[in-house]
Amino acid sequence: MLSRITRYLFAAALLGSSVSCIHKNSVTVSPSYSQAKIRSLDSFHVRRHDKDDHGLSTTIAGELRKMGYSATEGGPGSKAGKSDAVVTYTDRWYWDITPYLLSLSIQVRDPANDSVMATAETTRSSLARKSPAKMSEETLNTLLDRKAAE
Amino acid sequence: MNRSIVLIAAAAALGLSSCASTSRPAEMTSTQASAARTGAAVSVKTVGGSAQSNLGAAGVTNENFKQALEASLVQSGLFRGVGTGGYSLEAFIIKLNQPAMGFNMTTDVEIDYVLRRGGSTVWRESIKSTYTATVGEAFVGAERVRVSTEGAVRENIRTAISKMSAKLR
Repeated sequence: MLSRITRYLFAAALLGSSVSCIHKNSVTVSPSYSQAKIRSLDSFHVRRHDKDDHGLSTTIAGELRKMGYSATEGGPGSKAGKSDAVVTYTDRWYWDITPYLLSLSIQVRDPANDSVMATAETTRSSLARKSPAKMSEETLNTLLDRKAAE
Repeated sequence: MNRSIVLIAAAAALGLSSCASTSRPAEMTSTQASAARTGAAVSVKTVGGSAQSNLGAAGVTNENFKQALEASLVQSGLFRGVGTGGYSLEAFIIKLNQPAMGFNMTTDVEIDYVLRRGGSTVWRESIKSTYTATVGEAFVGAERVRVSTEGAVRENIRTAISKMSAKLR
């Protein structure tokens, strides 16, 4: 019996190992916009997506405020109002003993036409996992070209 | 029976974690024909691609995506050929969401396109597409991710050509 359980655990470990120790953080700015334009953004409207069961829009808006920006939030399809940019995001969760945020991609969009000005993505697999707030902070720092807080 | 399950799981894990070659231009090329014919040349710029995704799976390089996009645009008949002096198209890969494991593997792609002529924007749109690759299409997991990625990009290009064709008709 023990041998059978061991085999299953070994198999599960092998399956998990394909995504076990990755930490990547990247940003791409659209050729239609400049890094200076991204840096000049001061106020954001975080648009929640309809499958967000983790309250990430609130987390992202909170992290933006902590960084000193003005941030509002709203549901899918909500408008930017007077904000300089709309923030959208894609989150991907995984499970390894407990659920964790595997990757978070955040985009800043032009409120005039909803086109993406820049996108940043952080991937942290199980052994490098961080809380959604830390993942949001890390991704926003990369996206908005800021140095991480000490 | 138990040994079979362990072997299958191990094979799946190895298949996923093995080195995956990047997505191939020919497999990302759309055969969508365009109703509109501009008779003009198009220059293409692609950004946002990378050889590997953040999870280490086959990514989409800017160069391979550019080749696939150029071939699709010319084959569709929408543009006369690739070159300067006519339209310019920018394609920005915003999102490439690939599966980490599974039998049927679905990849989601979002690409932002901007078509310009003489400095003015003719058409701009973000297009989302998806493709599911089955075990029948590729047995090894890493290959299946690549096939699903290529399919999602091909579908994205197909939709872009349809929309550009409608705009330029």
